[in-house]
Amino acid sequence: MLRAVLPRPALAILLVFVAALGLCHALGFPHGATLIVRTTTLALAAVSLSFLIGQGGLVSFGHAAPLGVGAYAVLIAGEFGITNILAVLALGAGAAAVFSALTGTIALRTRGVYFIMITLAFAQMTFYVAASLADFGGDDGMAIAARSTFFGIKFLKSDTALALLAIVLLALALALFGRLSASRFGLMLRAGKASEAKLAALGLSPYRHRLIALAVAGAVAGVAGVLLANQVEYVSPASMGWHVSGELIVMVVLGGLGSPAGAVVGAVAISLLDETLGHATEHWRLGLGLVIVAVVLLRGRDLKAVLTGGAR
Amino acid sequence: MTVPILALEGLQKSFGALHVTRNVTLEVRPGEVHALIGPNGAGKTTLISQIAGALTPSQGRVLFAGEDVTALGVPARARRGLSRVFQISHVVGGFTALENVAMAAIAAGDGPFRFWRPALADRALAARGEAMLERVGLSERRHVRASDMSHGERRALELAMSLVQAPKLLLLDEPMAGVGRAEGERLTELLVSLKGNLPMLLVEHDMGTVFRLADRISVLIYGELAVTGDPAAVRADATVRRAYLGEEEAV
Repeated sequence: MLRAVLPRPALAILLVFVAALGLCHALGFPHGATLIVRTTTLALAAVSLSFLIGQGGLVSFGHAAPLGVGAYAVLIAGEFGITNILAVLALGAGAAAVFSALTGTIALRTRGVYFIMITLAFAQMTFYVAASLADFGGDDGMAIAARSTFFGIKFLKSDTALALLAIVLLALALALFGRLSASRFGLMLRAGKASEAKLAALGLSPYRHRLIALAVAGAVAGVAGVLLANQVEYVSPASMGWHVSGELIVMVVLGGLGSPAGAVVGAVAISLLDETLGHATEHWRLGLGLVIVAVVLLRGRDLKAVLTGGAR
Repeated sequence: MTVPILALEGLQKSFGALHVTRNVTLEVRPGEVHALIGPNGAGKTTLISQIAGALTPSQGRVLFAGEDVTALGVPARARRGLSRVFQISHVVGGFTALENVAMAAIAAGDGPFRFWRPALADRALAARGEAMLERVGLSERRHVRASDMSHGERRALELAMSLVQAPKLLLLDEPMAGVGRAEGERLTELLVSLKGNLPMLLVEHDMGTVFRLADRISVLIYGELAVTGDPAAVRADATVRRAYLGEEEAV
């Protein structure tokens, strides 16, 4: 039954995370659930960015913005007394999709490095807008009213429950992007990556495909933002800072651009490095930098390929 | 008289004081293969670009199947059935032959915004693609990535991508450029087999191919149309011999 809905990598990732969660629970390691929520949440955002970069050739350096928009949706909705998870997810995803589509109408007029710069600029603008929202914490940020509920039931009280939700949403996102990539839409999106002139000669302009891809990826990043806000129970402009966008790109590159599942591997690697090296020294990013240099030098044999033994 | 599939009316393209094409008036009749030849720098590429929509003419009009398409861009003209092949390759290297043909079929308006079903799981689409690959002799190579194909195979693939879109006119932009002898021969045969069903405007340097395919030939010299006529008349024309064919090329 499950196989019919989820492609194999999504299913494998689902099972691995659930097993890890079960293990943490059995071993009495409550911090494990927290770590899994963070990892899967970042993975969710990274997977959506991987779709943009891998399928559409759209290197967004502002993907933390829709993530932050999703997080602020939780905060703002909470202030108005809306905490139902379904409503909050819809608001977060919807707001992030609209944000991505609107900024996309302008950003998509540029290509290459200019696209990278303009998405960064939009994310920074959003950062400063969020920092100026005095009613919602300004640049310090603000605690959310409460974790999301399901028609009054506080089912997300524990991080374990939140982790389960995040894992399921991650698997669904992987399935979604897998289907989109294989569809006619995905084929046209990938074709657009190759060359504009080619597509034009075939009678197609890739603009609408790219805009839709941005909106969908934005929505998924928004969902990640909703989860993130629920986990830390706090929302601040920092969640949409440029370094978050950069970290997402690092996860995507580290995991390999070939498949969205690679981004999950990248997210897990970064989270584990943060968790281990991060406690040893605050300069762990220096080590990370070296790792990234190594990965880029090994281009074509990314981390996922190394792990699965596959040659590219 | 039947409406010509393509009509150029006084087409002129100037870059400042430089007139690259001057007052070119030309017709491609339904079903004919019309060759456009001329020495290097005669303005053939500039003319083709104006026909395809990549360049906007300074003066004059482009009529496609009776419709004025002068103001339309490349994608809009392509969607109307004006298919330019070869000079700008359509082929996406990372795609297999079948994916490339499927992409072309989808781009021709065959549901580009279907999000859920895997594109190649669509039997009708795959069958159309496979039939077209068979036609150009690539069925054995349908699952090979285009980047792993030979230059000649890629040209055949391009033709398949163009044909699957059911074009009304093929703009063949130097099909033989850079193709080896054997592959060029196969490509020419392929084009001969299409002759009669599909009007073509052929721009080509290889005179053997031109004289084998063309029903009529137009000669462009210094941006102006010198002669239009059947191959025998063009071959006999003194101006053309002097300006273009040259003594060593005496065909």
